[in-house]
Amino acid sequence: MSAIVEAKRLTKTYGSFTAVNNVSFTIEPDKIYGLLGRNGAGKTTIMHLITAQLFASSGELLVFGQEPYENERVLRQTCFIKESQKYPDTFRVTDVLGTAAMMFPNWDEGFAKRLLTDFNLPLKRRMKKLSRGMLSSVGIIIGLASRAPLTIFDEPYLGLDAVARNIFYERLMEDYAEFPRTVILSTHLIDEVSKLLEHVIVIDGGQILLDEEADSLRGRAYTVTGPSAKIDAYAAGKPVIHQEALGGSRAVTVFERLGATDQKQAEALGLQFSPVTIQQLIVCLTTRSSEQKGAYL
Amino acid sequence: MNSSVKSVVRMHMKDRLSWFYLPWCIMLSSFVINLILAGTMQEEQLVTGGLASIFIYMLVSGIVSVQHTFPFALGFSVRRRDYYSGSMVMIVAVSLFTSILLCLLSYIEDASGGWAVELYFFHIPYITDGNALQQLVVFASVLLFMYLLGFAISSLNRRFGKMGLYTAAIASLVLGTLFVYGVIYLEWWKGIFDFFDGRSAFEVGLLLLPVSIVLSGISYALLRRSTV
Repeated sequence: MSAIVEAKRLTKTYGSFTAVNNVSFTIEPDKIYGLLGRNGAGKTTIMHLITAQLFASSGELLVFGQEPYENERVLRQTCFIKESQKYPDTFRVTDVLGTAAMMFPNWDEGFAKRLLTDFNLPLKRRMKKLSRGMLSSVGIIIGLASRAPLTIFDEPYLGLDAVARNIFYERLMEDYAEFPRTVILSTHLIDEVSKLLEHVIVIDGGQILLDEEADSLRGRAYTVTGPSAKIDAYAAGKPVIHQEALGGSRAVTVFERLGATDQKQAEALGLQFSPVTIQQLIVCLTTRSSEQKGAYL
Repeated sequence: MNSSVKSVVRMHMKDRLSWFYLPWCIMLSSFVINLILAGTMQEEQLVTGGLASIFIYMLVSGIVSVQHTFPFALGFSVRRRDYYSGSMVMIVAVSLFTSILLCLLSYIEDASGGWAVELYFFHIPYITDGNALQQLVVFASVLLFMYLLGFAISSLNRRFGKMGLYTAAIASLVLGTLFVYGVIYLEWWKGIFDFFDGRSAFEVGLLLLPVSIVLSGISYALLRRSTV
């Protein structure tokens, strides 16, 4: 099957500021993608470009094989839930859900009803009067119940408590298993979602830092801990992306797969290994790249 | 009408408060106050301009509507074109519906001798001089024009932001000043007077229609390139 989204040299500038800089990537069907990065990295801009709510300054962008701008066929299959979504002042929760039911062809009313109970939302309350967390739940309900072949969540759970976030992950996984579709999830809570993600794209400073399968990412780096002198000897010439000193001992994070020879060498030195989570890896890489552009990548 | 346009119309229909209840509440409260006044005065007939409130409401409604519903609809994957078409269908329908009610009230007012207290709120000299159909055209055309003026202003804001609005405001101020200068010193007023002299409200209403169509076209051109 062909790609759902194909971006080639995509660029978006605002005056002298470049929000998205020459970005190329492909989103494949029926996978859950994590679009990760720091604030202002350009994630939201990319998602707005995919849904034709913003216009690219240059580059090529195909969604479902076509240009998304004013394209009924593409837009009907797309649902973009964003934190900044505006609602008419006079609309109540029921009006917003009723509108969503008309706009999204795959809308499942029963599923929406179940989610409403899950999230405990007052149907008759005006959108204006909802708390931040409730507002987020409305977005989540729409994103899930619309069952759009391309569903995009941009920071979908601002203000939601851990219980509600868990409900979101569970319902997403259950429904995704039954109705596979392409999901792009952008969030700061990387640890929470990392088990959901099948593919990770990391954006930093408007550019792609990493575009990899989540599984392969899990073994991409490791941390070794031990006495400073031994660690220095071990880490010499290795791609160190992070280090921490703790009294006489030191921990360094090395951005490479742990090879058998290295492991033997380190064990001989009496060093300890620990795996690096996707969140730790991304924090290291994005912190690092703001100091030293693109080293080891 | 394709299904997306229909959905946009139905989205607008969900906001009955803004489209129907609010304008009528405002106008009818003005009407009730005038009715009490006319009842207590007893002597002469009372002709008021309270009807203007619904036309001014339409201007405001046009401005607010784009602001609230355009980002909402686009956020739900609606094409700009479908949003525009649906909004136009809605406003034409609302204008016609409102006009029919206004005509009806105007007729009742006339037939009942100004609600028995000689209050002329809906049945106003010149404006409602024509037959029922002509009155309908006058009401509908002015309602439409006011709404589309607001719609165009708000579309300009959507497309070019505050700077766009300021630029347009300054430009229209300059043009307006030049126009007034022309009217007074170049004696354009004679031509303008001749143009409107003897024309019925119905004819003026008809002449307003192409202006509304131009406003509508401008709005579409602006919204097509607007972002959220």
